[in-house]
Amino acid sequence: MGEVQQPERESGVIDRRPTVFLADDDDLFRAVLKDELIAHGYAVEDVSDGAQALELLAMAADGLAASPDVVVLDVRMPGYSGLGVLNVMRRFAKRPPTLLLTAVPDPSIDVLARTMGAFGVLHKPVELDEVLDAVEEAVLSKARRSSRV
Amino acid sequence: MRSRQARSCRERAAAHARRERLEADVRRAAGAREALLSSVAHDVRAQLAAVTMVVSSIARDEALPEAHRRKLVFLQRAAKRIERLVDDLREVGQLEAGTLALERALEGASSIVDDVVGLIRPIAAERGVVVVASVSDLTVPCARDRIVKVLERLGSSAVGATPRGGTVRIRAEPRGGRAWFAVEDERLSAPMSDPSGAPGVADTARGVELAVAEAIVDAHGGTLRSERLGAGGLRFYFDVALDGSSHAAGQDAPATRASSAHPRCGRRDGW
Repeated sequence: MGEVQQPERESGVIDRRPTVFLADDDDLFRAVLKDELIAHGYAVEDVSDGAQALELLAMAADGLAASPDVVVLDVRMPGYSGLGVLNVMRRFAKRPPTLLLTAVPDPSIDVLARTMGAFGVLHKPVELDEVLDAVEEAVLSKARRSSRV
Repeated sequence: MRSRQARSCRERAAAHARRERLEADVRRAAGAREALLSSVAHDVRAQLAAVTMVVSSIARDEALPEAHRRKLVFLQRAAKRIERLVDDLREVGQLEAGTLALERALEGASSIVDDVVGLIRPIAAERGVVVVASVSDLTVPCARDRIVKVLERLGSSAVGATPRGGTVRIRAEPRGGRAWFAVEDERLSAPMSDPSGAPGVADTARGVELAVAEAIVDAHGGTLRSERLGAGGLRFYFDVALDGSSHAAGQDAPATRASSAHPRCGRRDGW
């Protein structure tokens, strides 16, 4: 893995390591992505289904867990689907940018996800760089949004 | 007389009911097949996602020996090929079940062929094969992406089968009120991937690619056919009605329906 790299960010906007909430029921995919995100300077909280993802988001809202800078959700998961979680997140006053991952090659998922406020949709199989770039972009967008407020 | 008429009427009604039941069974079977293929395609893509993630993670290691890096490239190519295969399987299921909408519009044949040449030329250059386009100025009512896909699959196969220094021709011209598309190669002989005659992995993949090409052409009201060329080589061709009608032309052509050129059907033409 080599040295831990810090994601590029606008100076003075985020002082701590950005936190990523990662929900995917594929253990291998999740484990590799989590390792790489950590190697690139992110703090990662990972879960394997939609219900756990909602629980983690609720804990963050209550101040019992770190607040996520980015949420990464697989679309098809046990419990709540990624779209189901995103739908619940629409009620949040402050919603972190959310990326959806899907192995379903159906463009209607992109349309639906964006209608529901997703930051982006990535289609599996996806290159690691593509995910890292999307996460970084999402972190920067949140930082820019926060600096405007 | 009257009882004979009544019996004939009952028989016709019974035959009609039987036909309706059979059609409903066929629709149900196609729907179930499509659902199964979609589900399998999703699961395979999800597993491929894990493989791709692991491979790209390993590839980031700057200390990785060059020999290992080259092997990772093979893995990445294999993963891409499997992805394409499952997408084709899913698409065949959707086309058979009638759930894949073909959004047709008037498209220029030259622009379609340009896209196809652009897609296959890099592979052809790697293999030392020349790709030549010969296109008449005509406008075709079709689902552009799908027709590009058909020609790209046929063209890639043609490039793969043509020896170094050979030429692959992609043609589009008007014939009998229809747009006629063809891919011609200069393959020397049929590949023998398995002396037993059983299809190998590559044959199976090409079989699926051919199946999706056939299904797309069928959905456009045409028929995908193949024929041997006099000077050696093979031509795959199909036509699409210029007025958007679904009449399948070429029934009297001295050629073989493309699927019968598949190795599983006795011929080994590289598909």
